[in-house]
Amino acid sequence: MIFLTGCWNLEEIENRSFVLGVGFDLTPEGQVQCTVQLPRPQALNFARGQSPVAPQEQFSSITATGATPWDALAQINKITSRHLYLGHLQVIVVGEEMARQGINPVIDGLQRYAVINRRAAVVLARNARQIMEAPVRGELTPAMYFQTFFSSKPTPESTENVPIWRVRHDLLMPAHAAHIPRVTLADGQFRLEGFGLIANGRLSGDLPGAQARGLALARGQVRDGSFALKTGDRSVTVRVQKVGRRLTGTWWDGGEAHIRLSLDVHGQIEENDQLGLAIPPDLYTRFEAKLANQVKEEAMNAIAVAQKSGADVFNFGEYMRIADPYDWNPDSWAEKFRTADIQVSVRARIDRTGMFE
Amino acid sequence: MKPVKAGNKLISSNEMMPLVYCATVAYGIIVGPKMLVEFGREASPLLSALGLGLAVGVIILSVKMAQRFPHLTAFQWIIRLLGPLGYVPAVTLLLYLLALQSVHAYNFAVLLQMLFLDRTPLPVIIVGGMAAAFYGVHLGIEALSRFFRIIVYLEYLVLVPLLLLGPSSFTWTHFMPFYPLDTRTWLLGPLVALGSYLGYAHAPLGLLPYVRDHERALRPSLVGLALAGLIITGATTVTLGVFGPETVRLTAYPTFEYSQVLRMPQPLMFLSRYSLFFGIVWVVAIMKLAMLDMFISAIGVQQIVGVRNFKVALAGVTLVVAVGAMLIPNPRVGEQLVVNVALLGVALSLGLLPLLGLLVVLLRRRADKVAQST
Repeated sequence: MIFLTGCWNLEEIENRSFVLGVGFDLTPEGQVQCTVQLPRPQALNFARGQSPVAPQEQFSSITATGATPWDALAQINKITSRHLYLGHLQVIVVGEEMARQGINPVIDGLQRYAVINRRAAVVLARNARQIMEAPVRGELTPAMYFQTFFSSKPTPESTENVPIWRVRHDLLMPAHAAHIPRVTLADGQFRLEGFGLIANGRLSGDLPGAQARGLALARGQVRDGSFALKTGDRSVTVRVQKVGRRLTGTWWDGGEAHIRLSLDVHGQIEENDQLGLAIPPDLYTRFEAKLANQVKEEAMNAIAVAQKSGADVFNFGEYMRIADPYDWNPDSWAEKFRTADIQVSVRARIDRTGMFE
Repeated sequence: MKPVKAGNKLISSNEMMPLVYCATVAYGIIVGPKMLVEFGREASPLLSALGLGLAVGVIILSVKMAQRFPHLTAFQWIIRLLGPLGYVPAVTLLLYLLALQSVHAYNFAVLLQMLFLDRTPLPVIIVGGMAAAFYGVHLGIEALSRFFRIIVYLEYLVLVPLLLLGPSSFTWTHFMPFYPLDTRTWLLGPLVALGSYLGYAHAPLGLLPYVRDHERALRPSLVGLALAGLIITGATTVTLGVFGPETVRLTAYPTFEYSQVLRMPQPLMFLSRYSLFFGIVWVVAIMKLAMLDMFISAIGVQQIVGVRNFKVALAGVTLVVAVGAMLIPNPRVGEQLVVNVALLGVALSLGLLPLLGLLVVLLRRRADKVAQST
């Protein structure tokens, strides 16, 4: 009896389909369209001397519609010959229209299921099905592209790996908003750049590529960002390696929130327009001032976009709560955040110059 | 009435440490963080530490009272001390243990079903688990103690990454303010925390007659409780730091959820599915707690009801616990019962136990006679 308790759950591995990616779109009729991406192990098993299969044959995708995300997934289960196994899920792609209507059912349904990989990345796309079906160069399946992109190198500053558990956390925290990286498809290649801002479970704002870095700067999360700086006839490229973020002041005044954000930027000279020519100290100071101004401008732009959307993705609400925990009302923060007086001060230092003086 | 031997050999006082540690952690690490964060929110680590202080007081009282009657279990000396009236607290203690086990068995089966065995019927999991526990307990206290000693090091190995790898993902605002904002939380918070530490509380009362050098039992018991307290407070802290109070409050098993999001550093990448390791070790820990409780309950049934054969008493306990678990209608009721039984445990620890201690002091001469009897 003891050893038989597990037999009900016995499932041979050949009877499973491993879902690597899942995408959700909203149809014009208001139904949820789900697309799953399944690798084809048989197509990868080629004998010596034969050419490998084409990228589009290394995986298959299946689409079905349903009233809700989980219903759509259940419809796919009716189509496939094998049982869908979500334990190896790498990416969840949410279509824009779906996100505008509400992302909560997607996150809730997937998180309730204990097997699902909590570290699966969530990305936003204009059309999730298109992303799920697009063969991508250099990777076996599109889902693996996202997994490799986020794990093999420092993440570029205009995007971020946001796993599903983090999205759920951001959505559940009162007075907090989520941000989800955007993916686009151009010339058969994915491009991860920009963020969608999710407030109250709905897509409420956008930070395209150029502005997306400002979000990372204001959150103090830039690890590898390049800034091209020009002063007079000299120009350099500085790689920002670290941004220290401090909230130097948070207070309420007549119901209006006041926030003072300080950013401490550290960078390294990446390239100098004049080979071998040393950079004099006063020029360093000017470049540092330029860097500080540029960082401040980008951070303020990102904050302005977030304020317009009512999406506090910077965790400012938490600091305001701590400033006055007894009178804190999370329900009113979205409105107060829109009109909050937020100022950013930046101090930039170019600490290193690489192998040159 | 002699202490039941039933093939049992005596254990040393040092073995109280793994027994107390395992019994406390098995329950506290899953239930503790959720209960505490739901009640105390950002102040839950502080409340957990305060609850540990109360738990230390309870275990000192428990061990001291057991040492007062070193050759008798609590069931025996309560009845001998108070006469027929003693059956009331003795039976209360036994019923509490049986209720505790039924609730644990049900919730354990629900968690196992949710995580690993989603198609297996709940009664099958309950009966299978109880049968495994029965087998372990019937081997005797020394075998149980050896099993605990082996597994406790594996538990340390699995739980240490859980605590050490959390801080890199913390959001520090989740801890602020770190103190409770109202008087009610200050007063009740430590009591709620105490509820998550009570996996061990009855152990000295039932086990001390089987400990060879029982006069040295307090220190290892305190060490076991301190280690368990560190783990439970640590688990509360890391789940709060990573998830925040709202997510912990709305998650059924936040510690397990946290084990799923944990990312191992490069040297430990072979533990890529850390949650499976954690889940398996936790299942073993719960089985240990079940075996300990079943052992003490079986002793209680023998000594209160008068069943001679230990295995018969154990079989009866197993049956009652299994049936009790299967009578719980759904997981929501199961979760509420966990809270209710924990609060009952707090009430018994802070009410009945000190009352019995007071009676032992007041009825000193009678207590001396009972202590000398075997």
